[in-house]
Amino acid sequence: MKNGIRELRKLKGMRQEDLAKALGVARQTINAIENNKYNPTLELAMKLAKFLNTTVEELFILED
Amino acid sequence: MSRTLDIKKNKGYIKNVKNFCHFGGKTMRKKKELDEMEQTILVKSRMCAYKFMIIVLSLWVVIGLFLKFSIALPGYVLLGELFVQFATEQIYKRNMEDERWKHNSIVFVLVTVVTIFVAFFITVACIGTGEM
Repeated sequence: MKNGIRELRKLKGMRQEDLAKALGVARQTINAIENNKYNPTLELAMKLAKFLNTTVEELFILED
Repeated sequence: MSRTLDIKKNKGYIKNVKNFCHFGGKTMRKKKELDEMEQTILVKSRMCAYKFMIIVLSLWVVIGLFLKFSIALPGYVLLGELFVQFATEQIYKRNMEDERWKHNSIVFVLVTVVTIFVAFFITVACIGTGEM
């Protein structure tokens, strides 16, 4: 599973810590998601999509 | 040095009072809430620990059977743990409206009854033939 969280976050000019604080998770969790080491739950994925003004489908790309 | 804090004494220094709780007359810092990744990691590590314990107990039982020492302790722990796991699995299935819990429970009851009956039959047969 790939995602475009890092790009969208940088477009917003936010740090991992700011995004983590806004979503109520640890900075390490955001880092792990950005590096494709951890797949977030549906709830966090939807929160991320909402916060970054996009959709879950656009944010996460399922690889074959 | 004690890590407990007194809110009254440190009123000016403790801004986030909700992060503290009272226990045994002392004010202590609450344990940090885990976020979802930490919870996932915790569950995975607990699964590893559980598998390790099952392997150790199983080896204890197997070695005990060969070397003829008591296997009551590991046996009861192993059986109890497997039973609790089975029961909670069925409860979760029921809560998630997975109807397989009924089938699993019926099979479990039947297997238990047959096992008890076989054990009872063997015991009675041994007493009857004078082997016990």
